[in-house]
Amino acid sequence: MKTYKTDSTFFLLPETDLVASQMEEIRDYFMKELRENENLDIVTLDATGIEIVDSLGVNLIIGLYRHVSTESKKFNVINAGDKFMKVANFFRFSTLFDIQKAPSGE
Amino acid sequence: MNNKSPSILIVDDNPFNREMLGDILKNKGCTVEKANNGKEALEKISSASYSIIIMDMLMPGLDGFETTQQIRKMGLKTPVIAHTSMSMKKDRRRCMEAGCNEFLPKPINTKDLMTLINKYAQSDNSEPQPEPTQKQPVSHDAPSFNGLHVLLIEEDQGVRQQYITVLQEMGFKVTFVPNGNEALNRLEEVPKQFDLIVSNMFTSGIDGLGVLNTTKREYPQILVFIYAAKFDPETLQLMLQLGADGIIPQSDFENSIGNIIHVAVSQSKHKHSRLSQANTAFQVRKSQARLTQFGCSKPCPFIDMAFSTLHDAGGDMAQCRHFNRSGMCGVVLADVSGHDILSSYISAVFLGILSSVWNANQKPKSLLKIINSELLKMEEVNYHVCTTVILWDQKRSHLEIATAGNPGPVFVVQNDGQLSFDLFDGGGICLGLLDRDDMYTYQQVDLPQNSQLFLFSDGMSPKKLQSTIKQNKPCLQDEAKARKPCRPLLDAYMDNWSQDDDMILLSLKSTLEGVAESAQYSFQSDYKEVDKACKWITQQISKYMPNLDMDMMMLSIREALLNAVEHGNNYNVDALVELTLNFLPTGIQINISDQGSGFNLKEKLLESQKESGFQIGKRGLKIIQAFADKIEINGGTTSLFFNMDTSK
Repeated sequence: MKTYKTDSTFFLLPETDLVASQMEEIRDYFMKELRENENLDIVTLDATGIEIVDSLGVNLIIGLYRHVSTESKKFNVINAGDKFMKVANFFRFSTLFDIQKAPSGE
Repeated sequence: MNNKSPSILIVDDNPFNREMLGDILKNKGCTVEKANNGKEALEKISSASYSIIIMDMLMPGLDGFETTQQIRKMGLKTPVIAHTSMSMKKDRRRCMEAGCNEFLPKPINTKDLMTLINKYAQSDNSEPQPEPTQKQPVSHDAPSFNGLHVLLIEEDQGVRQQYITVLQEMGFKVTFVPNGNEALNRLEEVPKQFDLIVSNMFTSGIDGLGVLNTTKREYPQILVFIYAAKFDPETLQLMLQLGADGIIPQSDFENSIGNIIHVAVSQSKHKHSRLSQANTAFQVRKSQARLTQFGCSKPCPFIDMAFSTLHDAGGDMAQCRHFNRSGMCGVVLADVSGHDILSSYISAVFLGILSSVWNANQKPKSLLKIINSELLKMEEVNYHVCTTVILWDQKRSHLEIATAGNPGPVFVVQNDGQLSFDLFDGGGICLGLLDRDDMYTYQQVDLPQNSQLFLFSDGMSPKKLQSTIKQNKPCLQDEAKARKPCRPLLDAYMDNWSQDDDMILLSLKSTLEGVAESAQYSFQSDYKEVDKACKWITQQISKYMPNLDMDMMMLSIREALLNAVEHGNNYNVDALVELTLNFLPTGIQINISDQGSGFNLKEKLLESQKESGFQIGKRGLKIIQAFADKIEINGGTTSLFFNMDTSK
């Protein structure tokens, strides 16, 4: 997993499924990175490589959204594959934040 | 030794012991007869006289204790030497209480044996039947029957008059009726009028057996004596088990009836109050009806049971239980020795022990061991309990079976309309006898599709049951009948073969009915293991249905697995989660079992619905429910069903 940034956007790139077995590590890493990059206005979850999102993964995404929102920042998701979109649609993520599908539909 | 060669009856189910003992005695000049079991012994005793009976106390079916008790009930005083491997003080006492005169431990000591033979041969009181009564009504030593009222049941006018005379000469007040129907009518009118019934075994309408059965149930204070020209052994044993106070050979009626009634009346006087006993017996009967409690509140299609009791007290018990935490089922079939009030007490004690230790000791041998140790603590009550214990993993259709004295089960498989049978080993040492826990039988059985296992107590024979099933194939093959096969099979069994003990029949069906294929997996409660389990499930389903889009289905299953790890096993890494994947004609079923006690599905779903769309829902149920077609919770087992046509 990694993070990268542009002028105003901080990108979170898990590069792995958002499932229970990975959750502690991902959460700790992202929260640390977010604390260290508080000055950026937009936080984007780059869903590249995410195929499975379980309930803990959903909680992570909602948790990130809430954390970012409380700091009056914007949260969105990019590069969402089909499998990610199924979960996103079920939980109606798009009513909370923007989700951009992966160009190839992956 | 006496000049007269003593006649010895050896009763032992072990042919080696029988032959060895027989050879020793023959060499010492004795006349020897042998019986393989208690039933055969009673048959021989009813038709011949012996100086001494050497009795093995532990035999299948009618054991040495019951056989000796019945010999005494027949009014016979023939010395009985208990020959047994049980050598504890309490075993010795128990033999004496059953009516034995001496105790000869196994292995045999020839010197001790001959000392006992000489002792009783010298005071040989072999009795064709009990000592002839004097012709005069009451001799100096004979008991007085004055004031006792006899109801005589005899159809033949000549015989009746003859017996009335005999009885009156003995001091009885006699009322007579021609048959059982009239006798029972008379008892109903004035139940307290009679002290004894003396009945011909064979009368029109209700016969002697019917009178005996009804009297012992309704008017247990009345002593019942049955006479006949000849008894077949089955009937003889049945009468004794039904509680006949004496059996009288008609050929020797005049000479034997006095002593037989005397013995029975004397015994009855030892029992403080017959009325109190009658009340107790009534209560026992009511309690007895509760000893067989079967099935969970939710009907289980895989188990069936039927029973037929012969006795008021004691007898067979059957219990089953679903263990929430393991998701498995336990089945216990038990038969307490004896058929008196004390044996009912032991039944209740047994069930009490079972209730308190079963959950913590689900493994069959472990359960037998702990019940045995508890029963042995009751030093003053020496009864034994033949027991079968099963731990049934319905998800895998797998059984662990241990027996302690009960017969082994009969295994039946249906294949193209044909039935094939396998008789499993049973036996082992009954509970409550020895402080040993290495003498039980144990086996593991998988019940494949279209198979079932029949369990039964020692009132039934495996071979006779097999024959009954063969003759009544529709009970297993006809869809409607096959749901509950035990009652018709038990009825058919009783039509074919006489009933001489309580009978209980259990059927355990394969839980793989309609399952095309099944696979199992288990893992420790760790998130990484959940990932592996999901991978395994995906591989299994892909093998079976390679083109199935299973993304959302797997999401649902994954949530159920997480639920098992987090809630069921409370993150305890050592606790296993067990999976069974069944490919049904209509879709896929996955059973997920954890060590938890389960949860109320309806309640949790309602709570989930109240949550906002972004929340996961209690136990991940929103996700599980969204993609599974059906969810069932049974204790710690969650079953998910996904409908699809698996035949494609």
